[in-house]
Amino acid sequence: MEPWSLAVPDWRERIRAGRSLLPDLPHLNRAQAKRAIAIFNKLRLPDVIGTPALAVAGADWFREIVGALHGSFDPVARERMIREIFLLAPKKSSKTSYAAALMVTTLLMNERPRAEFLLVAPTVSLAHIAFSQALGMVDKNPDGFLRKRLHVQEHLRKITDRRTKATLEIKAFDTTVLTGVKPTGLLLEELHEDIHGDTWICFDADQCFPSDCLHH
Amino acid sequence: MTSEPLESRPALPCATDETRNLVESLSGFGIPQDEIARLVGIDPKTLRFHYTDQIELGTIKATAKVAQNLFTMACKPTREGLSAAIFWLKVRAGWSEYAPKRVEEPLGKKEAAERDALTAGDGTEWGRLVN
Repeated sequence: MEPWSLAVPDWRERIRAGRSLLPDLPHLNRAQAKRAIAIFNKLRLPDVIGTPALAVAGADWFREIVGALHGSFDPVARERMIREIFLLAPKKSSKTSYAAALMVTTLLMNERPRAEFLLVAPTVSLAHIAFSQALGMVDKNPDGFLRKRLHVQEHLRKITDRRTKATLEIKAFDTTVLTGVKPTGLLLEELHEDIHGDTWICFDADQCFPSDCLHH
Repeated sequence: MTSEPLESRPALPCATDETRNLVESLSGFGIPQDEIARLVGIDPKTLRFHYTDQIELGTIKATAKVAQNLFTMACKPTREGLSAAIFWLKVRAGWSEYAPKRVEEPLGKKEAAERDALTAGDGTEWGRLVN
């Protein structure tokens, strides 16, 4: 099956009109998308006064991405119809916080045992910021569910789902030398290579390593 | 110069069937080894060396015999049988208020955390959202 196209040739008009930059996705699994968005909304921004939930503080444009990505899994074919998303967003648009929230959501939505999720940042300080956001989201969960469900290892920058044993690791890597991993989902933060962009999200990435992605 | 041959150690009294049965019976009755040795006329160490089987089997056979008798009694519908049955159940089946309670091994820290993780979302919205 062909992956879904996310092309929106009328993007100029859409931006001017304040419309969504995601095309209509008629085959979207709405229940899964809704569930992912609900999880995303329950996470809290740990570095904002009052630690507001993303339901209040999150932006709709990113919620759409969360929904599309998780709702694109075809349960019959057992295939994800959106395998890659490239996101180019300006500074100060909470990209790192959203990236961390997306990966925590993905870890909680995941059903695959011992799946590996990676959030890769080009420098240690960026990786630290991303991990600090993810860690804060787990810590600031008011009912303590996430602290019970997820095992955080700060020294490894690793979060493990105790039920599925799936892991989310936040690594600092030069994205051209990322080897020795077999990730189920990969999020590249701050991509400054062949193409200038910020975030490259790559799911079911068994055969799709960053160097391949860059040439698509 | 010729030397006189050394006098050898006196021969040990041979273990006979009679002494073996005696040692086995006395051991079964719970008589201390020192006293059995004195009765047989040998040193306790010699007794343990030559009558090892009798000392061990004597106790086992005596216990088995009494247990067989108790079991036979406990299976009879008489007053004595009732006492024997109560005793048997208390001792063998642990039907006693004085029997030590079975203490469950406390879970390790990691094990407890993993168990809690499985039920962490029960009764909350998280339980509905996550698997």
